[in-house]
This record gives sequence, C-alpha cells and structure tokens, in this order.
Amino acid sequence: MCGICGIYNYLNKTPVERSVIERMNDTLYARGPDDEGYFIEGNIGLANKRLSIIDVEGGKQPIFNENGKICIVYNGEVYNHIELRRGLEDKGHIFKTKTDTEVIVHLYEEHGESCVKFLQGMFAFAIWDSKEKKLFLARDRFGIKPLVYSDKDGRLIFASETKAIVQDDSINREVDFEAVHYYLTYLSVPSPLTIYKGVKKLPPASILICQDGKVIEKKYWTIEPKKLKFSSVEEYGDTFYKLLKDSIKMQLISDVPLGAFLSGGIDSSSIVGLMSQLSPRPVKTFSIGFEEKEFDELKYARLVAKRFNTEHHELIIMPKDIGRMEDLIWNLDEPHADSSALASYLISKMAVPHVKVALTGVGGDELFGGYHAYMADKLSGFYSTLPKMLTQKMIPKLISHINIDTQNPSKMRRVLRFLKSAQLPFDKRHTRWMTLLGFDDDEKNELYSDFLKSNTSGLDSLAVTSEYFRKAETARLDYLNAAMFVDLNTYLSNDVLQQVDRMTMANSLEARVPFLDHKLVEFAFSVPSNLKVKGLSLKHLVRQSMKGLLTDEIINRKKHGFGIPIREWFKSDFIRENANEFLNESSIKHRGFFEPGYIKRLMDEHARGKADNSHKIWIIMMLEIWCRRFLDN
Amino acid sequence: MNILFVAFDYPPLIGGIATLSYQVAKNMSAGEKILVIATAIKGDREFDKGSGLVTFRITNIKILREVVLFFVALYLIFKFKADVIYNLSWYPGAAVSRFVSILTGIPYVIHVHAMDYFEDRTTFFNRLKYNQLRKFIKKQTFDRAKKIIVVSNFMKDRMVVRGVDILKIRVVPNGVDLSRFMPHLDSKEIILKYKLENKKILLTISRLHDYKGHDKVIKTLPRLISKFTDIVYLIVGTGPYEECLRKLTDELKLDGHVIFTGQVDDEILPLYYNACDVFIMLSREIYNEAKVEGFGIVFLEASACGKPIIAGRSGGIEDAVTDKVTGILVDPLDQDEIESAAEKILSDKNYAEQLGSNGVARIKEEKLDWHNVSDKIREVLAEAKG
Repeated sequence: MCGICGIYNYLNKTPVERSVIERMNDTLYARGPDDEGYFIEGNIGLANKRLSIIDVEGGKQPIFNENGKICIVYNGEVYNHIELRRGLEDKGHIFKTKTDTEVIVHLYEEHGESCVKFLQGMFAFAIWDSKEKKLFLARDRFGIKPLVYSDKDGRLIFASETKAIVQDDSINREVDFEAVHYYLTYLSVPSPLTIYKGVKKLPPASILICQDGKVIEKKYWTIEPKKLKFSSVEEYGDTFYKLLKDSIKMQLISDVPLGAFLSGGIDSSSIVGLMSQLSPRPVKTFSIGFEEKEFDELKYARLVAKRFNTEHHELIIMPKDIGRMEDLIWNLDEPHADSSALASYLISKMAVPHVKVALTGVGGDELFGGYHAYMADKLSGFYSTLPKMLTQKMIPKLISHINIDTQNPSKMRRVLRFLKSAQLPFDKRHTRWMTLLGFDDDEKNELYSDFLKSNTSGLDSLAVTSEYFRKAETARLDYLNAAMFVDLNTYLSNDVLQQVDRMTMANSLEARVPFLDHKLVEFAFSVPSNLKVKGLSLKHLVRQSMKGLLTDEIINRKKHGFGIPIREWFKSDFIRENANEFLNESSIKHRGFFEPGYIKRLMDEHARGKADNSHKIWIIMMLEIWCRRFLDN
Repeated sequence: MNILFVAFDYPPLIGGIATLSYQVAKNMSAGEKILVIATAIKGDREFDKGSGLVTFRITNIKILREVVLFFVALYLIFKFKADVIYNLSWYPGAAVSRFVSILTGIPYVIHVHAMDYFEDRTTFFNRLKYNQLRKFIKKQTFDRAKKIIVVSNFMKDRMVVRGVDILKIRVVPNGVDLSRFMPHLDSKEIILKYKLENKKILLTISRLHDYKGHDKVIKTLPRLISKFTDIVYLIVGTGPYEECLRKLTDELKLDGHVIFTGQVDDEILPLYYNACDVFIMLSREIYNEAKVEGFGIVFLEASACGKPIIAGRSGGIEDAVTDKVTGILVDPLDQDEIESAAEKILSDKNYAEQLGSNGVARIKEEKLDWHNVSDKIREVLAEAKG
C-alpha cells in the first residue's frame, strides 16, 4: 500500500520541479512511511511513498522494466501476481524483485494498456513509457484505491489524494460548489468530482492516457451479469461460498502479519470464519465497542472470535479518542461525514500495532442486499398497488401533519420516513432512502445562504444516482439488483471505500476487501434479487450459505451498520466543544455558505431532544473543519 | 476403543467406497476392536472368512433393513460395549444410528463421500423419494452426529452451505494401497494383450458414466492424433454410458485409437496404470443429477504408480491432484485446455516424469496410504468418543 503522485508537462518541455514533487509526496507520508522513491526526468516526474507488504526488502519504487524504458509508481495489491508472473517469465521477462509492482511493468510491456484486464485486486498506478512518451494511469475496478488528477494548461498532475495535488502552485484551492451540494446529500463528494474545482477523480475501472498532447480517459471494465442456469438455491449458495472462499484465500498472501476487522455482522464473521479455515495460525481479529448499549456489537464479535479461536482484540471507544478534528479531516482529505469513518479510523489505530493488513466485510451489503432501503424498495412495490387517491394525496397530506417530537429512533419514525418518499419514482425514492442522513432539497433551501444558492442553482441532488440507474437498465438488471448496482457505484465507491482507504492509510494499515473480487461481483449481479432479499429478509442467500460456518445468533441477527453512536456522542463535552468552535454564528457567517439561523435551529432542536439532527450537524461541522484545515491554513 | 462399523457398501461389492470401507476396517482392526455390519450378498461368506474381521450381515430389503439394523446395533452395543458407531454413509446407517444414539448415548460419526450425500432430483420418482421427510431426517441425522468425516475440502464446503456445522467436519482424504500400486511394475502383459508397443497411451479407469468425461477425451483425440499418430486411449471399466462412448468412437472414426477393455480383474489394475503414459479423467459436475467426484481414488492410484495425470477441475479432484505438481487440472469441458495439457505431457518426457515422481512423493509426504488414512479416521472416532 502506498501513496503515489506525479507531474507531466505534456505540452512543453518545462522540467518538473523536484521541490514540488517532494512537497506533494510528503503530504502522503501516512500512506507509506516505510520508504520513498522519485523518478524525475525532464518534463515528467513520478514519486511514491511506500508501505511495504510484499517483498519488503526488494520492492523499492519506482520500478523499471528490463531496459529501463518503462517506469511505474504503484499503490495496491494484485492478488494474482504470482500466477501472472509465471506466465511472464515463460515469455522471457526477467524479474529483479518479487513484487506485484514489477509484474504490472512486464504485463504492460506484453499487453499495453489492456494489462489492467488481467489484474485481480486493488490498485492505482502510473506508468511512464519513455519510448512512447506516454503517461498511463489506471485505477481498479471498484475504486478501492484512490487516484485524483488535474489537467490544466498542459500540466497533468496526479496523486493518491487531493492534498498532494494542491501543493502545486498552478492549482487554485477553490471549492467546487457542485461538490458541496452533493456532499450535503451523500455525505461524501461523489466521483468524478472532488472538493476542488479542476481536480477530478479518475473513476473506478478507468484508465487515463496522456500522449501526443492529448489526455484520454477510458473505461476498461463494466459489470456484465451472466445468465445462470441454476436449478436450485443451493447451487447459488455453493457458487457464492466458493467464490468468497477463493477470494479470501487469494487475499491472504502477504509477507507481513495479517488480521481482520470483526464487527460480529454476517459479512465480517463469514470472512473471519473462512480465514480461520484457510490459515494455519489463529486469525487476529479486532473489534470496537461503545458504551452505548444499542451500538455495542462486542458481544457478537466475541461469539465469533471464540468459535474460531481467534486472537481477539477489543476496545471500547469514546468521543475523545477521535483526537483533534483537524487531524481527522487532514486524513480524510475531502469533506466526509459518514460517521463510520470514525469507526474505521479507531479500529485501524487499534489494529496497527498487531498487523499491517486487515480484511474487512466491506461490499457485502451492496452486493447481496443488506440495506434496509432494499426492504423499503420491496415494500413500496406493494404500496404502489394501493389506490392513487390514497398514496398520492391522502397519505402525504396526513404525514405532513405528524411530528415526532423525540430524538429516539422508533418504528413510527421509520414508517414515516418510508411514507414520505414512497410515492416518488423508483430511482428517486431509493436514493432518498439511501441518503436519509443527508439534507433533502427542502432542507437545503433553508440551509443555503443566497451565495451558495446562486452557485448551485439548477443542480439536481439526485443526478449522481440517476446516471447509474440508466446503466442498470441497459444491463437488464431487475429493479432490486439495479438498486444494488447503483449503491455499489455510488455509496460504496464514493463513501465507504473512500473512508476505509483514508482512515486505514492514516494509520498506515492496509485494508483488503474480499467481497470486491470482480468474479464474485459479477456473480452477485447474476443472482436473482429475490434470492438476495427473500420476502423481507435481507441477505437471504448469504445467511443460507453461511449456516454451517456461523452460529444461529450471528445468522439470525438483525442488520446493524458499522457506525458510531453519533446521536449519543453529541451529548459529550468533546463534540459539544467542537460544535461550539466550528459552528458558532460568526464562523458560519464568515464562511458564507449557510444560514446561521437554520444551523442554530438544528442545534437547538437537537439539544432539547426534539429531533435527531446529529448527522446533519456533523455534516456541516466536517465541512467547516475541512475549510479551516485546507483553505484557511 | 470398540467401534461398531456400519458399511452398506462393503466387499464383495466392488467400487471405490467398498474398497475404502474394507481397507479402513482392516487397518483399524490392528489396534481397535471392530465389528462390521454389512449387507448380505452373494459371496459374502467366503469374503468374511478370509477378511479376518468380525462381520455381521443383514438384509438389504428396504424398511426391513432399517429395523434389523436398529436391533442388531443395539444388541452389539450392549454385548460388546461399543464406544462409537462409525457409519460409512448417512443413509440408512447414520439415520438409524441416530435413534440408537438417542437410546444409548453412544456417539456416532458419519463418513461422507459425495454421491451418497447429494440427491438427484431430476425425475419425478426422485422428487418423490427425496421429499421433505427425507430432508428432515437428513438434517436431524447430521445435527446429532458427533463428527463428520469428508473426503475433500470440496465436500466440506458443500456440507457447510447445507448447514452442517463446520466445526464438526474433518477432512480425511482417501488413501491408496501402496503394497499393490507402485511404479515400475512390469506391464508387458497388458502391452502385449492390447498391442500397445511403442504407443502413447492415455488411460481412464472408472465406471463408464456420462460425468466421468470419457466423451471429452474421445472428442479431443482427433486433434491429438494429428500430432501423435501412435496415440491410444485405453478405457478400463464398464457402465451405462458404454454404448454412447462406442458410438462416439465410431462416429469419429477412431477405430484402433480407442480400446474398451471392459471389466478387468482388480488384481491386475496396477499393471494398467503402469502401462500408460498419462492417466486422464475429466470428471465434471452434473449438478441436477447429483453427479460429482467427491475425491477420486483412481488419481491417487495413478500417482502411486508414478504416472502424470490430467484431471477435470471439478468436485474434490483438486485435493486428489495437485495442479502442476502431480498433474494438470483442466476445465473438463474445454477441449483446447485438454489438448494443450495432453500435448505438454506427451511431448515433454521430463515434465511427465517429474509429475509422476511428484505424485509418488506426495503420497508419502501426505501419508495417503490406507494405513495412515485409517489412523486419521481412528483419531476422529476417538475425538467423537470424547
């Protein structure tokens, strides 16, 4: 795992300044504290910070091909590198290291840009081909590893994170208000935008080629569901189990100690169970818990740890463990308000003295139907069969009069949330249910200052997902699989994977995601959705398939997110002090984005226990902290 | 330890499981007291006399056999103070053991192979047979079993998906009789019999069933003949698919290149292995019909005779053949892969010999002979006894 960056002045021969590259690379320190390397030659410069996982001694980057004409800086893990290497050696390629990095160099020699299609794993890399005068950037199929770039006036700058890019003086640190607008709904800045105007994310499964004065971005892979002729549920279960096991087996390669994050949910428990079957030594597992009972999953994690005899570590965390908020946002790199980032951060911090690599259950919910939104999607199917008079007029009117004056989550609140969006078209209502923590358009209208309103006018908050709903339609996915496809491409990619990468890297720990093996993903979208969500039972196929691996307590557990009790934490001095510092009237006025009155109302309501506005306040607060750390400093 | 061994598939019946049950019983009897319960069939008396094992034969008439087994098992448990019941199949052995176990508290172990576990539900009759009641009995039987022995990791995975507790499952791969199967045996007898001098010989030894993949070998032969004109495919065994295979051979005009030997005497099987250049069996899984290779003892026999293997990547074969070490695993439906594997082995003598000697070494290292396999099973039984 590493951080990479580079500059290519492709329209002129202006030499790349070493001091700039060094400054950029230094910002990526946490991503790779073990080593660093530079390649600067005229108008091209590449750099890397390395966290050594495979071939710890010999893997120094950049790495070159046999004649030194092709050079790579790379961040990631290619799990099938040994197999690929064998094939390349048969074709006469000579290897100097044992790394997966070098495999890519030779694979590029052999197949050119199509080399990415052979790679199984997570990666972001840059190859400089000095013979062809070509810079070639690539990112893995799901965007597990990050890559951002700016292309301005013939200067292409790329890096693992935006904070490296803005080190270059040619970049204006100007906030992109479109990104802010989406962030307030989705809790993270969706691809291809970044929080900076003019800096873009290279989308997942994409390559970028800069050659002959042109910059071209291309997709190299899309999910293609297969028509499976399976005759029984068991056959789906067998295939799923085998694919997951194979993926985990492949991801256990490492020259350094390896463990797993264990939440006690079905995904992470399955991974730990299978890991324990595949590795000769006890698996190292890590769990975090909270003092708030409702969020405490330690009990379940302990059950799993005991069953598989793991070397288990657990920790109860409290708000003050977050540390300085400015440091947290520095590591997050962009505004990010999903509270599970805190959980990722704290669990990585706890694990890193013991392991350098950890497997996680990320992706299971998007692939196999783990979110309540899918249940709502199903229910709304029945709901829409009711008379229009009722669903379009009477019920919406009725619920507009109901106000729940409480902070505590309740069934009634859930029903109301459901009804509030149930009459919308499918894509809109699904998106709404997936973004319940964010601001909807009405709320944004009250929140935005005139300045922000004028800068975001005409933008549709739901545009981010509608693009993928269209793609799902072309892929002929059934409606629930379409919803999962959208979530995989938006929520998982923009929010979850981004925070997991940033928060683990902040602690110099590599997270691996066995569910996001492309064969497993392709299979997942070939499974009829009624097997994934059977009736109203979420994750049905996974539960069925893991019956012999896990105990009933884990199999029959209700869904619980990997979040932190943010609502409760808002009562702590730590968060209150932060809120007072970052969300006081003068700082909001100074920033000029929001209406101070509305924010005050949100905070008052929350303080009086009238409503749960914790996430909304958190979203605004994280944005303000980001602005202070990255713009004001 | 006193072991009550219930084996409905037991010699003089022939086949992989019958071989296994006898080998295991014989080897275990060296250290433990074994009482075998098997079915009464023709020739059983002579066999039992020579076997040196205490064997009780019971009827194999359905429904009656379950009742008889129940009482015989109860009687033997009290008479010989059995510590554990070891079942070589889940039905009827383990299903009856469950009731015996409820009454006596004696733990039972089930040994699962493959075909005995999966159920073919393609026909109306089978659907009737494998109804909810049978499913229920099966679940109850596996739930109460103290330990479950499976022959491969593939079988373990399949059982886990069907809800069998993974912590109860032990993988004990099958074994091979090293006193019979060994390299460098003089196979002139076979060479002369089928006129195989200077021929390149592909060999399959198995029952002739559709899923065993003889058809794929035959279909690939024309391509191989163009490169190796002196190639011969020796098919040892009989079975329901023979007619089809013969027809296919005629259609492809492979006369002289394919030899059906029919059933051959068990005793001379090692000579067949020794005669061949490569042992090939491209078993595939036919899911609906519950046809799959749980492990594949023949692969071990080929390895024990120092022969390279080409095998279909399906079922538990990955445990029987180590890919690129003792043989080459191929997609059993992909003719290109089959062809290139055969070409590699037939044209590269050193490589072929390497695979063969790796096979011999692997069996030694992993202790895949019946003696050691029986020891592993004995350990599981001791674990079950507690």
